[in-house]
Amino acid sequence: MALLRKASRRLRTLSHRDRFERDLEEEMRFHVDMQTEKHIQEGMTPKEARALAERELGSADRFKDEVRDVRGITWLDDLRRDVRFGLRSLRRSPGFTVVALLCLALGIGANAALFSVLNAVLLRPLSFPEPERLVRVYETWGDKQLPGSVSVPNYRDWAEQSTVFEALTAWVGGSRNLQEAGNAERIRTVEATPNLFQMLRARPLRGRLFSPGQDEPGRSQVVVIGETLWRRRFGADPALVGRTIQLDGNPYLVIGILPAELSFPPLSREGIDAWLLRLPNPRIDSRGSHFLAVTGRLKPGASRGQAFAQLKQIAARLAKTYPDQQAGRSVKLMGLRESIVGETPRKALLILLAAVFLVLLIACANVANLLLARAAVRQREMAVRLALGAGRSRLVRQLLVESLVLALGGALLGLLLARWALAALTPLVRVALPVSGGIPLDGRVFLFLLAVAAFSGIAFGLVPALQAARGDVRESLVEGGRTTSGGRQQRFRSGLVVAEIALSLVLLVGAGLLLRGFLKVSGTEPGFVSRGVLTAHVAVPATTRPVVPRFFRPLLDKVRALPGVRAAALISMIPVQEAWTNASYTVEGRPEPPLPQQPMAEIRMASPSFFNALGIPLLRGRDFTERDGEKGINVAIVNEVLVRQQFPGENPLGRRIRMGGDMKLEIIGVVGAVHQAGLDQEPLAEVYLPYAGAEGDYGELLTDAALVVKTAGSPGALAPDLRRAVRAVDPGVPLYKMLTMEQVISDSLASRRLNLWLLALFAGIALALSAAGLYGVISYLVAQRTREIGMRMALGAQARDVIRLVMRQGSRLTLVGIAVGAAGALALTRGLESLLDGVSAHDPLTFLSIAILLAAVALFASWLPARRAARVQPIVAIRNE
Amino acid sequence: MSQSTTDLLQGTLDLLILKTLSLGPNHGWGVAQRIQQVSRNLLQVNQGSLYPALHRLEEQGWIDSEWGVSDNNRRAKLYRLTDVGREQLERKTEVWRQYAQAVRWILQSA
Repeated sequence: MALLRKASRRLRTLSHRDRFERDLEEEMRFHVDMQTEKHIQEGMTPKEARALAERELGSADRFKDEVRDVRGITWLDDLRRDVRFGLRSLRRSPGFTVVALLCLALGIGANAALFSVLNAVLLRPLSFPEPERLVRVYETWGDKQLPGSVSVPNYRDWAEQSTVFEALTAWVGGSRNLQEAGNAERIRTVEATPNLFQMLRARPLRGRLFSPGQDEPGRSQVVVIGETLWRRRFGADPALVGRTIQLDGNPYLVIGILPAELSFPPLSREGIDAWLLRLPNPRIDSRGSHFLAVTGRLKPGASRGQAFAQLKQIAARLAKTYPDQQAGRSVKLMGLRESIVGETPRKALLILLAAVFLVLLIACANVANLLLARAAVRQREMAVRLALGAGRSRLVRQLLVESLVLALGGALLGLLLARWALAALTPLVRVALPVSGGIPLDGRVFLFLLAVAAFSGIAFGLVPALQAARGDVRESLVEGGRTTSGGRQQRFRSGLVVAEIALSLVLLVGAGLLLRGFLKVSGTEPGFVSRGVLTAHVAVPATTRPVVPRFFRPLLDKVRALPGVRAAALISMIPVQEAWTNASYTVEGRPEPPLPQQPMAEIRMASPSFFNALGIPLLRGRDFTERDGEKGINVAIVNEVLVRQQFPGENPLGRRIRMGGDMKLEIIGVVGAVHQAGLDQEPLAEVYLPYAGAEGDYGELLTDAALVVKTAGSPGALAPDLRRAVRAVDPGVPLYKMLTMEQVISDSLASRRLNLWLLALFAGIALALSAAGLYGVISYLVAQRTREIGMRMALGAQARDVIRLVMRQGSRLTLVGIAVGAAGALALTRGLESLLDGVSAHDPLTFLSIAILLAAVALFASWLPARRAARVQPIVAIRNE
Repeated sequence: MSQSTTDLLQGTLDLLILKTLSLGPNHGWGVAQRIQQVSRNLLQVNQGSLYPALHRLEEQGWIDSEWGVSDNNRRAKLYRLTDVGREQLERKTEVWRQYAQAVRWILQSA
């Protein structure tokens, strides 16, 4: 309180500066008048009295200053004067100012842009109340105790037996067909337990959200619509609440609209459109089938540690009670945001932040170098001011203020750069990182920007300021206008350039290593041919049955008849785009191990000619026909990974595997392996089932199936034809997520590409800045030695000799910089290891080629001033001195 | 301005100003006169340091000021003790008492 009052009083004083001065004046006059009167009464003449009174008060100016000091006005006045002085002196040397501002804008702008991304992903708090109490709970499994999904009975046991949660909810993502005004579209949904919004403490934009007790799964079909869908599809119609909409052909009552910022799960890339209650499904709600995500809100006072301990106990109990399904399983707790962002992006962002900070250091070193060069020119000015009685500390302060003004200017320009960079980056970021909404330049970014500007101002300004103010008055004045700079200053400047080159090398090596990793992954043979392939998802309502003869077969026939189409097929999941739908299996005729030890295989449902469309080689046996699976699934095609695991050296054709309890599958073909889970993941064992069996237990695989169309021409051009074909077969079926296979692969590399781009960009800026720095220092040296060079030439030195002389200096700095940088890079790139996809962090090829690149650029930067030196006219150079 | 007047010890001026203002609002000149009178002219306030002290005390929030009318009907800046200032006065008075007591004991001990 007292502090607040004080602050407001000070602000008042400062903002009403004129009135403050008038008041002070009047107060003094009053005092002198009173004192004069007193003296008159004591018997003096009025003149004497006034003189004495004024003497008693002392020098009015001196103590007015004292009062101003007390009020904090002097300090502000000085600051204002220093700022004005700084601006004036920057205006006087526009060349210097422009170059320095550019350096700073690049350095600070890159920092601001990256920090904004980091802020949006890692720092900006989730919009739910008290988000730090929201946790995600995983079931862990296997030797590595990997975090995984939760089964329905386990979730129930956790919810009933734990006491640390205010609410524990289970949910699962999905999608539905929204049929509205004769137009179908696929929307993204979350199916959850009724306490979802209670757990989040979310408030609706309109209507209401689920309330446990009132909205129970199965009793009422209700839906909460997301604000984004509400605005886009329903024109923000308030009457939507209370209306019934059709999802997958079933009526749902819209009970409320959820504000966009409260969308759950948060930071979702595509965004969730609607929330439903999850219905029990006896077929999969067993203890052994894990598919739920579990999120809870800790009770006030309950710590994550307590929650973990309790859940672990419950899990241990479950493992004892149900050893068949639960043996070796435990739990893991994670903050909600961490669970969404994940370890790798967090690490990548922090590494990039460190990298962009190095860029800033290089920019600062450059500006410090410029300032030092300028200080040499300003030596005389400083000496004069020192001689005239300016305090050294005052002088240092003035120069520092000038630097800060420069840094702030740079920050402003940098902010513009950052805005522009973000506009360009946002689409890339949104594919690569979990961000919802835009990437704002919010208060946190501005604070960061200010801090960075202040840091840089001091970083590049302090040493030059101290050096300038240390100057020897007598010497500088006696030596007159000659600009000299001592050997020590020259060494310091060379040191800065060496540091710049070293830092650039570190960044360039980092970027080089990322590039190697990227090339390695993107160069991985996916196991299929992506060229000329268009993919698109179709979601057929559950009411269209039997789905193959009524929808898929006619559709495929239509598509195959389209001009330019070479092959068209249906697959339940597109490789690289999606994976991890698997089941355990056993080989007939072999002893059956207990469930947890049974081998797992990815499971797909495919139409005939899928392998043909994607160019996956058929290694043995035959492809599916339209007849396969029509009377129940009894055949399968497996990939070579499964064969290697189960039938090494044997002929797998004709062998049978058992899946899903009683399904006996005869292996009729073997195909090549594809990298289902991404190019950086090894291919998994895989079992393909014929799509005509979609009416059986595995039919669900096709509820969100994908068309794969191989064309002779450009696959993108086929899109309108494909849409027309689907509409012709059933206008109620939406076609969505249409991508060429090349885009699918490209999207899967998005985060790598982002990291690579950013680091390469930073390294590029660093290279340019340090080349400019080297250029500056060498040019300065040449200017200093013009006279000497002139002499040498007069004495018969050739242009070649002069160039060699100058470049020797440049190459010495470069070599030292490269040596130091290589040592630094060896130590630092280890931190990159997890982003390198197996490329060694000390990859010699990268180190070598980067060193050569840097050396070439640096030599060019010192060749330019060397060439200039070689053109010196000896007579002119000598006369000039 | 006799030679016998005592220079004020550092920090004492603040205490005296607070004490004076505890008797009622007053202007700067009034405060100086009052200190002189009450100390029977033993203490002479250096007028050059009076005003900085007043402004400092106001800055600290121990006293307040507003423009009012003096006894002789002139516009004058009147200072007044705040609640915080009153507390400070009590505390400082106590400290001063202990200090004076201690000094007296030492001087009498020889």
